[in-house]
Amino acid sequence: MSTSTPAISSRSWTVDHDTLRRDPFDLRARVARDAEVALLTTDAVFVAAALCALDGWAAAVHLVPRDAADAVLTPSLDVIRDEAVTLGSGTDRELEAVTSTRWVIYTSGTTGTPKPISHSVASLSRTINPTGAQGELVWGLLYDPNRMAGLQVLLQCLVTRSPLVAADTYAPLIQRVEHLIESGVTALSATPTLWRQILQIPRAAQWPLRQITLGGEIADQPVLNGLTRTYPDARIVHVFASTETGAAFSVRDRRAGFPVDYLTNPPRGISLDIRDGILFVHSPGVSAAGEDGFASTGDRVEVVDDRVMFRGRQTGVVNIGGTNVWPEEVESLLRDHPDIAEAAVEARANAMVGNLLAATVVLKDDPNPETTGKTIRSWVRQHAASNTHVPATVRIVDAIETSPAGKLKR
Amino acid sequence: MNIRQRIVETLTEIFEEDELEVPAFDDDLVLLETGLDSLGFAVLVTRLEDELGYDPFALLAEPVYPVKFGELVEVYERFASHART
Repeated sequence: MSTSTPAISSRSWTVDHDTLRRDPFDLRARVARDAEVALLTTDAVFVAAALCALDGWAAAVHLVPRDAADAVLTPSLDVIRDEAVTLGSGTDRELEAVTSTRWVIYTSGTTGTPKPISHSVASLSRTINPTGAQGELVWGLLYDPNRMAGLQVLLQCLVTRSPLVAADTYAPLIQRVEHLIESGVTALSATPTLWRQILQIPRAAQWPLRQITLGGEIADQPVLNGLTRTYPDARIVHVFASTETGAAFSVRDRRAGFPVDYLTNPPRGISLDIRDGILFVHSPGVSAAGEDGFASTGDRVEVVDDRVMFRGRQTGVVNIGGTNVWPEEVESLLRDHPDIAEAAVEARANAMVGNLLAATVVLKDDPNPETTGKTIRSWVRQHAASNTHVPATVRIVDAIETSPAGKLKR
Repeated sequence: MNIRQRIVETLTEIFEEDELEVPAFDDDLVLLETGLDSLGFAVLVTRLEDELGYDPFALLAEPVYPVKFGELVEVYERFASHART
């Protein structure tokens, strides 16, 4: 790969930014004007080229993650697969915008059927600061480019013409990370769950990262502290962006949550509101927005002193004997335990109290040999807000699975 | 290990974790007098489900609320055919 021309590279292709904008896969010939089409690919170069070529040309483009294909694809929907295209040098004709294009992306679908959400490229690009000092940053992409988190990284690089190296979405994390380190990546966006795992990869401690972005889940204080300790010179930003509302805003002060004055002084012009404990953002272009243009993010928030803290998903609430408990709160507490590296907490149906919590934890290297599920449970009991927060069971495992979007599987 | 022993062991564990005095598990022991609350009881049922492979309270057509330790054991024994072999 030439380092003089910024390019996007994937496992299959390396294409510079100028060529990406010239429809190198000849998609405008393949897709009829105002047609509706689905892309079946995990390749970041192909998705980037499609964003450039089909925006303003197709009526709708569905970005279909691999695990959603069965649920989403119908015989009537025209499908383009990446193995069926060839890379050329592109056209010299200007790619005129002749229509407005709906980009349909699918939520992770942790609760069953993947949910389609329509966006415009403008609504997807809202957190991108085109004038932001990118310097010589080389971005890495750990995610599936079809998902919100991956798209954000891809669009960021398209807008700022930054170099991007995409890891093989479905390779094990340690291989993806080592590939990015070897490729000279200096900027990375990942979920807090992935960052906690990255901090456990030996080679990652020597990674000369300059930009660290966290998104997709609640960034808690322990993970922000861990990153600050390992990468003291990096800029650390946690981004709030949800599939329901498109992009929103970022926080740069290495503290969990966001400043309460964002509510009165909208960050980058994005108005926020808290309604019944749920964060709403003004997002009139989005299908989920109400009449006043505000859309629910589905995230429960709480004001604590000068911060608005995220407390978990509205729908993720677990009712335990009439008390609402958010599994994320308990996960966050477990991660404060001196011997715990990672924790996932899920609800378990119970005839007595409706639901109970079941915790799965990964211990740090060289834990106290006396640490067991039993001692962890006692520790939670001492530190939790109430007994309902104490998991009924604590299972110790070697690793916790993450979803294709890099989030903890509960 | 029989079901009664398994229940005694699991209950003892929960009492210890909750820093409650471990009682003598006679059939006439009144469960609620031991300090075990609804949550503790629910925890017991969940752990026994992991151990034995079944939750008798989810299998019952009519809800049963065992008052005494002997009744609790009886409910578990009634559905023993569901136990993981």
